Amino acid sequence: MDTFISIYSIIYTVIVNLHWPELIMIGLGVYLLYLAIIRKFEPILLLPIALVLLFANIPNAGLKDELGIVYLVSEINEIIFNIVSNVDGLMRLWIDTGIANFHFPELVMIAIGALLLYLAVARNFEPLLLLPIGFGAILANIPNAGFNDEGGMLYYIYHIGIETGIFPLIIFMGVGALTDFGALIANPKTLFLGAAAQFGIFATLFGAILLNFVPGFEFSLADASAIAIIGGADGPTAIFLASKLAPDLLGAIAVAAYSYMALVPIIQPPIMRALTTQAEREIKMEQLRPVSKKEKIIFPLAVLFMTILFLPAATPLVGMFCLGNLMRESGVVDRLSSTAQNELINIVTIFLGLGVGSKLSADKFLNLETLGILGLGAIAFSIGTASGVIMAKIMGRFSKHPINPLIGAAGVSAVPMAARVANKVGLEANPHNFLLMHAMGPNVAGVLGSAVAAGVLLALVG
Amino acid sequence: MDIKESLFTALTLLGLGMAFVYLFLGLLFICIHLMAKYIPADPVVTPAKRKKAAVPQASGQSQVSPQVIAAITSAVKQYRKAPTA
Repeated sequence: MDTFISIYSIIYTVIVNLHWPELIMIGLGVYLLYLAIIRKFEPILLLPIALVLLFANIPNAGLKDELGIVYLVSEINEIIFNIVSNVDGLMRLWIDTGIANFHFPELVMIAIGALLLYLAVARNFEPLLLLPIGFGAILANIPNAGFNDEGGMLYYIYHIGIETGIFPLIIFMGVGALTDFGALIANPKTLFLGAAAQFGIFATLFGAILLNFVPGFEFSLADASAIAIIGGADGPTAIFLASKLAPDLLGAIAVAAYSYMALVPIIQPPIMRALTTQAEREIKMEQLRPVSKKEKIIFPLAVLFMTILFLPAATPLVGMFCLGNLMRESGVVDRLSSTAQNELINIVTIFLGLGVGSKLSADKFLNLETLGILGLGAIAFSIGTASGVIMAKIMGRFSKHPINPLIGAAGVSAVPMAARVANKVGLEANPHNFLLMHAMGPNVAGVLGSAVAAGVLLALVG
Repeated sequence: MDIKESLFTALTLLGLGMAFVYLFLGLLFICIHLMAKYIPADPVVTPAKRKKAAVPQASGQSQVSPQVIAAITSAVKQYRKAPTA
């Protein structure tokens, strides 16, 4: 009887002392045990947590009271924390954290980097470049990390690859190896469309100087030239020219150039529709003649020869471009050609993006001039598109063979996006009219045209 | 102060630059024309032969195939339907 009473009293005290919060906690402990043992969810961590949870909530066991084991463990924790926090080192660690060192401009730049990442990842805007640029922008603005200081990684990437102009030139070689001039050689008239679209560059140069009337803007002729080349819609050319003429504006110019190249499908169609009639958009063009292999091999050599004679300032760009193209068309160095258009261009693109991103530091990007550059870039693009279309209309008047004015818009380089846009707008007007191959002519002519324009600017302004 | 001066420079650049781009690409235009004139076109013999060889084969196959293909596809469809239905 005595034993029965004592057992009963033990059970009674446990039951009386079990309050529902503790019951819930015990239930939680059992659940964690289930997860750890049966479901094998992180058992190494969950098992001890669950057991302590159980022990700590058993009424009258006193594990949480003074001298109880759970109490002791938490006490030890606190002591360790106190010791650590009393040491000077902790203060120093705090001073070294990012949180203590952030200033508003850097935060804004990191947000801009994140925006570029978003555009690249979620919206698929020129991801190959905007992703490394965005990440580079974030890295460059991390306080105390010293990426941009002498000895930092981005510092070296910028000075080795971009200041010297090597990265954009290597990329241009890759672009040359990726370019097929067949459409241009078959229909050389499209060269004039590529030339007309360069009007965007020179008109913007004028506009940038005009902007000097607005207080707060001080663009020199070199600055204006570097900004204007955005209208060429050619990333490597823009970076090359900016690194030579206006290194301080390089970040903003590169970001503007690549952003607008990504926005070609949005910027161009309204301009193209506004300047053409439905009948003009429906014009079908004659099929292109086949181009012989010899012509394709001689073409880059002819371009190089002419550049040597008339515009040596453009030979870095045109020369590398022609080298890549010759490697492609000669057919005897497939290994080099494939390296130039794949591995090499990819590797250099990573570093070029990071190097450009490193120029997106708060002190150089967050100013009125950047806004001006972004605005001028959009104008340059629009004028280039419009003058290409108008030129195509004029040529269509006088040409024996029909010319669809839409292909003029592809004269701004942005290969192959601009040609695709011309094709798309053409298909909207006439679902059986495929303009892609015809638009590739002015498209690659635009690459040559903007390289020549860059050479002119380098020769006259630089 | 000398904004007007630099505006004038920009204007001359505009004219000069466009003129030069047109001149350069115009010369290239002439070059391509000369190339087209004097460089003989690729002999089109090999692809033509291939075409001739490929065409009868394809047509020969396609003459036999429609019924056979129809039979096979219907058989496959029936077979796929059988276990599910």
